[in-house]
Amino acid sequence: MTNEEHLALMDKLTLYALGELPGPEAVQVREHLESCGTCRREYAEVSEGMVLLALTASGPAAPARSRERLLAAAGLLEAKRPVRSEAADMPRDLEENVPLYAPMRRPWWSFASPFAAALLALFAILLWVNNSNLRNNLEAARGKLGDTQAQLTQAQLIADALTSPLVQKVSLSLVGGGQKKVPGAHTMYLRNRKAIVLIASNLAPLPTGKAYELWLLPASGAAPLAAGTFAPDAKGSAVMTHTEMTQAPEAKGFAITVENAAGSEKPTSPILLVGS
Amino acid sequence: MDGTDDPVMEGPKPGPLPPADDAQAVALLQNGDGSGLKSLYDKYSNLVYSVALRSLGDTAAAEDVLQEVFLQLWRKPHSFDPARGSLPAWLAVLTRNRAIDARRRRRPEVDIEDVPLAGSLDLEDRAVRQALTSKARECMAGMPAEQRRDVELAFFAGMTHSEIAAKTGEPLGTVKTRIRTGLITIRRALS
Repeated sequence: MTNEEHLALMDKLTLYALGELPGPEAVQVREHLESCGTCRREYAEVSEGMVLLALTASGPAAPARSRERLLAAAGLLEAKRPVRSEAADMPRDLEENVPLYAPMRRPWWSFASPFAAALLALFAILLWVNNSNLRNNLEAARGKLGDTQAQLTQAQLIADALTSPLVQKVSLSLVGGGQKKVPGAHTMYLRNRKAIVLIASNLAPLPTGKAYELWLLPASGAAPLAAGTFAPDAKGSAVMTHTEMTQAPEAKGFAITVENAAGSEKPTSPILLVGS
Repeated sequence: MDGTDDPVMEGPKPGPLPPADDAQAVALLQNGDGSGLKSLYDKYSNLVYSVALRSLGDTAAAEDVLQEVFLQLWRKPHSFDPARGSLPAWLAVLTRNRAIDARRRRRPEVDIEDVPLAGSLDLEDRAVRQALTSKARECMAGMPAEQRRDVELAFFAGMTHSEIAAKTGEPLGTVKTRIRTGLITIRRALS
C-alpha cells in the first residue's frame, strides 16, 4: 500500500466510525485497520471521542414503563404472557427478520382520561337534573308556604275578630224574609286594621258569573264602600276576610248584594242582607 | 451521568443476586438467562435513553430506540465483542447509530455485529462514567463554537459532512477536519 493510499484510508476513519461510509469502503477501512497500527490508534481515539461525546447527553431517566415493555417483548414477564409480542414467542434463531420495534402497548391508565371525562359529563348531567328537581321542589314549597301564610293570616284575623275588644260586630239579616232556611251573616269590622271578617250561612246558590258583595255603610252617610266579594259553598256557608280596604271609616252597618263576580264599585242590585 | 444513569427502575427485590459485573451479565445473557438482560437494562437504560433522546429530541421515539437496542442485545447476545470495547461504550455508539437510522426513517444500515468500535475506555464503573462525563462536557464547552456545532451535528443529528458543509457554508475539508480533531480532542483531554 502506498503512502497516498494509507492517507486516503486514514482520512476515512472518522466517516467509518460515524457509520457514514458505504459498504465497500467500510470493508476496505476495516481490513486496513487490521494491518495498520497507526490507523488503529487514531481510530481508537476517534471512537473513544464518540463515546465520550455520547456521555455528554446523559441525564434524562428512561421512562419507568419501558422496563416492563422490554421484558414483555423479550418474553420475560411470565405473569403477563398475553402482552408478549409474537417475536418473543419465536425460536431465537428465527427472530432476525422480526421487526425490532415492539408495538407500543397503551398503558392501562391511558384509558383513564376519556373515562374520567365521560364520568364527569355524566355526573354533570345528573347534577343538572337534580338541580332542576330541587328548583321545582323549592317553587312548590314556596307556593305552599304562601298558601300557608295566607291561611295563617286569615286565621289570625278571624281570631282577632272574635276576641278583639275593638271589633265592631254586625249581624245581617234577610231583607223581606220568607225562606225556610233563613240566610244570615255576621261581620266583624277591625277598623284599626282596615279589615273585615264575614261569616255567612244559608246563602242561596248564585248564577254563573255572579258573587255576593259586602258593603260597608259609612256612619257619615257617604256612599257604600265595597268590602269584598265571596261565594257560598254547597251548603250555603261562606267565610271571607277582606283586608284590602283603602279607607276605614266608622261604619253604621253592612249590607250584601249580588254583583258580578269581579265585584262592583257601587251596589247595582237590591240589598239582600243588611245589618247595623 | 449525574447520578441518574444507573438503576432507577425499581428498588432491590428479593431473589437471586444480580450479576457482579458486565461480563457476568453478558454471560447470563448469552445463556438465555433473562436476569442478565434485566441487570444490564437497570444499569445502562438511562445512558441509552439519554443518547437516543439527545439525537431524536422526541421521548416516544427515544423510548422505541431504547427498546430496540436492548431487544437486539437480547436476541443477538453474541453480537457484543468485549475485545472491541466496553459494553456501555458499545451501547452508546449502537444507540447513536439506531437513533440516526430512526431520524432518517430507514432500516439499520450497519448490523449490530458490525458497529465500529475500538477503544480502551472502561465505563462500567458509575463513578468513572460520572467523572468522564463531567470532563467531556467541560471539553465541549471549551471548544470553538463552530467546531462544537459541527461535531454535534455529525454525531447527534447524524448529518453527513457534506450536509454540514452545505448547512454552514463552510468548505467540506474544514468540516471534516473540525469533526476529526474535535473527537480526538475530547479523547485526549481525558488522558
